[in-house]
Amino acid sequence: MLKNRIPSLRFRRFLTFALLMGLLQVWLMAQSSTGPAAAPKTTLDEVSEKLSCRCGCNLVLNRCNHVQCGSAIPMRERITREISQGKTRDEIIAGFVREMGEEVLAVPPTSGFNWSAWIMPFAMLAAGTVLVIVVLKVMMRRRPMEVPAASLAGASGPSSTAETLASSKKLDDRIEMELKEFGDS
Amino acid sequence: MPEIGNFAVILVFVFSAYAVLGSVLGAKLDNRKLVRSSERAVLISCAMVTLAVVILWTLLLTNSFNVAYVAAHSNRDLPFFYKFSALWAGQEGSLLFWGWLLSLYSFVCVLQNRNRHRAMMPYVIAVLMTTQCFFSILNLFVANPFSTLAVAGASGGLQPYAPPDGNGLNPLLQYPMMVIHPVMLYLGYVGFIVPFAFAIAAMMTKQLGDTWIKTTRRWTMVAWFFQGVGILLGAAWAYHVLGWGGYWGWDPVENASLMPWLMGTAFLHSVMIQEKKGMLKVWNMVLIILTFFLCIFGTFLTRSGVVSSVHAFAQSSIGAYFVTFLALILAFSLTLLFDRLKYLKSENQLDSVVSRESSFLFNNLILLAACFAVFWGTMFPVISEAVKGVKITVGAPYFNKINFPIGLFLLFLTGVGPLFAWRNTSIKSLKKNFMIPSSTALALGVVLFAFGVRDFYALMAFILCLFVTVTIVAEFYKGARARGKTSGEDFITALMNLTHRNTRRYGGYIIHFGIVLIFMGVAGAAFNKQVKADMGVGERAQIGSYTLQCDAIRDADNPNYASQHAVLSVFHNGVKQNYVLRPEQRFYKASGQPTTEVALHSSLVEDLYVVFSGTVNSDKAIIQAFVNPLVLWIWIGGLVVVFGTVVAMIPSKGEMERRAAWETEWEKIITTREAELVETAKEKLRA
Repeated sequence: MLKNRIPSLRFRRFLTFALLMGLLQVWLMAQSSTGPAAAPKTTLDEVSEKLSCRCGCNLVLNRCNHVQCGSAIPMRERITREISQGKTRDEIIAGFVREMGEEVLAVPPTSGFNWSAWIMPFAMLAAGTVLVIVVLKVMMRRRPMEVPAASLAGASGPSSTAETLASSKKLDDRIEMELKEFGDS
Repeated sequence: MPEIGNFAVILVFVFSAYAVLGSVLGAKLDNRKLVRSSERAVLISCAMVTLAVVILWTLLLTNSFNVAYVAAHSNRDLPFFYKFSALWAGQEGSLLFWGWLLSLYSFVCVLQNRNRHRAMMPYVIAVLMTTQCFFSILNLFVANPFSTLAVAGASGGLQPYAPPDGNGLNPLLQYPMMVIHPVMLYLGYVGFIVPFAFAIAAMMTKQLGDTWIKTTRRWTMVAWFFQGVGILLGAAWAYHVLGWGGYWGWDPVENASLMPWLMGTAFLHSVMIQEKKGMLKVWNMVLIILTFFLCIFGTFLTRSGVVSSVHAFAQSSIGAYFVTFLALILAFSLTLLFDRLKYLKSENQLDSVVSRESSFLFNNLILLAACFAVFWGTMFPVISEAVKGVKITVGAPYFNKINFPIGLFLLFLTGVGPLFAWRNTSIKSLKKNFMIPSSTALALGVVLFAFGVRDFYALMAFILCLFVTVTIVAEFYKGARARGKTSGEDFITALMNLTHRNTRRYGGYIIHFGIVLIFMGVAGAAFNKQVKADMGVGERAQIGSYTLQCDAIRDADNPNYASQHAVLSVFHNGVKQNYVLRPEQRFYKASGQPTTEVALHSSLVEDLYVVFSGTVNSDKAIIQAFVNPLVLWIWIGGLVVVFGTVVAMIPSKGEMERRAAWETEWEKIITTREAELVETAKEKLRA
């Protein structure tokens, strides 16, 4: 009776995994959101740290220090102008995206295909963790292997048989070589 | 002279192609003479690349502007020092330089192993020289550094042409650190080929024990060391020259150098398990294949300009050649690996999940995850363009957000690793080992929080830095104390002897400590301050606890560049400091490019970093000032890593004793067998 009430180990693992993934997603959304923030007053830095400079420097707009930069300077001037017109951060950013495309954003937006930019590294990490756990289990179950003789040449692992065989093979090779040279001379 | 250079490159191709064929045929036909001749071809190939390099240097130093490369990357007024470094400033020269370093590595590798690893060496030569062939093909057909300039003559034919002066070296490269940085980085990129070549040779000969790993351990460390130093010098260059206030912008070319380093780090850790336990043989093969793949991939990213980057100075059709070579590397290595799987089985089983072996596996996982995150972010613009037709920007904030948590976990594992024993760790000893490091680190966390540190990542980084430091100190302390008790040595002597007894282990701990310092420096970025001001003479600007006062704006001129700089007095907490800052803006005459020269005052606590971005109405300096806390610790950490690597590369006392014993035993056996042979020969003669 009691046994029936306790979820199976597999189900509990699934729940833990789902919970972890859910937390990860929430964390990611919180981290990478470019959505509206409740900022009382938009500043130049607030907007320019979300945009990239288009001069080819690969820097975020508020970091580009190129002398007389043909991209950063007009972009910053436009942001300052639009802030003074009372536009919010998101309105200004949306204006840039409409005009220059998504490429103007400093990071990929968290929507559509671009989600994969954010998710993939952590998905790979999660998959890797599962793989490592499986590998560890397999490695624990595995009995010490009899290694094919060919691969033992040069081996000096802790297995005493392997070590002996390898050493003698290595010695034999060396002796053969020395003898051959001795014979040649 | 360019013709001789060109001919030398043709000979490089011929001799390296011969070395590939000769060594493989020699191995297959068991023809020792053929293998010896291919070894000589490696040496000649090296001599030929050296000749080509010397010729290009001569052309640069003698202002031979009839050569396109010299005209594009040098000019008459360029200082001698930079004419020398112009060799690797452009695509053609840097590929020749790559090939030269490869030939030097091959030369040393062949000489070192002439009478060793006789079965493996032909295949090692084949791998080294195939790569040499590839680079000589690039130098011959795609990026020839000896191409000469010509113009259409009156008769319609082409006439040789030499412009009166060259375009000059990219101003960003006219910096002392930039002379060393590419050399270090290339030594790293190229160096990983030796362990890769031995791995392939081990698979070809089915000698899949740990001989190839032991033989290449120092080669791997050398490559890893150079790559790491190259990365740090690149960061220092970016910090001191680019003038945007940071040292790591996650630029595609920076990422290209980081990826093989991360993979190489995973390999360096993982091979220890194979040496100690005979496990993870397949995994080690995968890691070294990927490391070498990423080295070539990094060169491809830098040279092809596939992802737009400030560093992709030259863009050309070279990409197709690289993609083909990369595909060949992967296809051949993985096919060979698949075929040899049955010889790569583990010799032992894992005793417990709670063991150092497991922590190494997780360390590998995190390093690979970091490498993948960097790879994915770097390539995402290309992937997005291919999938959606829209190119997306993946800037520094993306990489910071993704890599900070991964980096912190890696730091945690760096501390945890030494707390686990090989094979199995009891919960009791784990509790005992964890107690002091974790409680000390948590106490620091509480103190920092109480003092107002609220940035989560920075707080975690400082906590983990102390955690790792305590574990490292404990390792040294416990080891030295135990040794002192048994041998009666004083603590310092015991500490020195302990390190000398196992240089690899304790050198590794020193490297870990260096990494801790680097993390500490990086965490300081959470508290960066920045201000921008237009300052007339006598005017002041405030940043944090510093006040800057503009004392003068001055002009200067020399044959290479014209410049303008501001003279700034500095007040810290209202007290005038005994130094002045002179941020400068230069205008290089030959290339017509402006650059900024940062003025920097460093201390262990923080850097005051000032950039002069020109003037407003000729009388106000545009000043951008940054206060960057703890940056100096990054460079100190780098030096500690260098020291640790040197320690780890010194042969340990135990290793030297084992080697001496082994050689004595060997000599005995050889002498006995020789005597037996002489006796047999005498008997035969008598008969």
